[in-house]
Amino acid sequence: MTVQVLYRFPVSALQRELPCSWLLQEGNGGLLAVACCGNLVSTAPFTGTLSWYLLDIATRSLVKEARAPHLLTDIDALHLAHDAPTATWVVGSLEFLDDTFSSHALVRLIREDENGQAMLSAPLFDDPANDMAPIGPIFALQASGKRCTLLYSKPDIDCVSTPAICLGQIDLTTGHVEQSIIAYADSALACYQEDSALLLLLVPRVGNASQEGQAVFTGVTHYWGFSVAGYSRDFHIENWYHDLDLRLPAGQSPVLQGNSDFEWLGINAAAIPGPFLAEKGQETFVVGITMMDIFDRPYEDGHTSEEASWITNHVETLFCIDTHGKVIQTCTDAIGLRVQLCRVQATVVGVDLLKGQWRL
Amino acid sequence: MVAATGQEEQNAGHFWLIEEYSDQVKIARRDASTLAEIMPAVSLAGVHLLAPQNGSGSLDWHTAIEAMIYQDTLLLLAVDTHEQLVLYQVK
Repeated sequence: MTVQVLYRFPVSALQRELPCSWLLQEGNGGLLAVACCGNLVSTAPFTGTLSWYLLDIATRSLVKEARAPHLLTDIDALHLAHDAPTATWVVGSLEFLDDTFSSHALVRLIREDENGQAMLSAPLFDDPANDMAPIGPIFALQASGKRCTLLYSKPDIDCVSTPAICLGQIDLTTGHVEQSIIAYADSALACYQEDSALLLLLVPRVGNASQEGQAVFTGVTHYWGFSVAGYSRDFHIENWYHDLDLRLPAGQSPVLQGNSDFEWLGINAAAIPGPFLAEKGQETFVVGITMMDIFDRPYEDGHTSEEASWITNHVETLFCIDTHGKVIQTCTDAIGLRVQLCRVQATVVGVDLLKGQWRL
Repeated sequence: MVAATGQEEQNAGHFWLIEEYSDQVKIARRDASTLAEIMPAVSLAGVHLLAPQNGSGSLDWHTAIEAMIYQDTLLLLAVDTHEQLVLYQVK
């Protein structure tokens, strides 16, 4: 195998940190768009630029470039989408804006001016965080059929309530915006399969299972569970919703007191488009989840993933579910932390970290 | 881990395994049935993967590797020894 440098971007990623997103242009396989945060201006710590590059992979050349000049902002995350019918590139971002002194979820378009120069538009969608609360992460940004959807988390200012999972829908031709809340969850992930989308949600619950833990737990959550929901690809229609039989009681440790105990959980999950079930004509998803009480670790100055992978108090699952919400297959073997999955035709291959060892 | 999707996956029987070490990124193409390396892996000395931009806010933050398949090659966005953003192609 050989390695070639296709393009060296004029931006630095100090300590490997650089908000960026990239995407191959649909229907024109040789064009790759990259959006990234430009270098910070040294005289103004919170000033950066948002840059967008369109590269021709075959010729290793820069086709177009756009830059949002003099943004008084700190960009935390970038996502990129492309709407083929309108040939429009869409940039979604999480930014801290100096003028409002708060974080915002934003959507901009790449537009060409009268000279054919690509430019970043003013925000088409702008949702500020609740007061001083954080906002994000962005779980999905997609564009199709002249519409764009942004799915993101929006916590409350109290940081105790379960954050809302918000959906912003933008008409790319008229600029009309619709906003809604489609779920509440402390964390989530999204995955697509053809016309369907899957949303995996980490949800705090109160129920019968809480009795055992209540003696040592004074916080707000009695156990952590997962829900999985099926949507249309644009998340506009919820087709089904299941609570998974996978839970980790809160309050395993007397150290937990008050507020949310979310930070004491070690959670990894992955979801990919699964194999096609020819006999049923069904598309599927494959989902892997590991959740552990990291308070099993002795209290020190943090821990590595390898150390955490030895924790015995954990729950996990690996299953295949069709796009109607029917579980097709469940793996009975234990899976470890940092699960990653990919599908090669009908075979699903995975990596995880179990008892200090990476496993393929 | 990255595998071909869409039209590109029809003839693909392999996936790409990307491993990051303290001093290099190792890339191997492996057979999906045997998991064996199809050909010797390549190493990018002094190169690092980008840190996940979502932190741990998303359940799958750890899978956020900036790699994709293009015409049976691997495209990788990573950081070189000069901390500059670089687009690599592995064939």
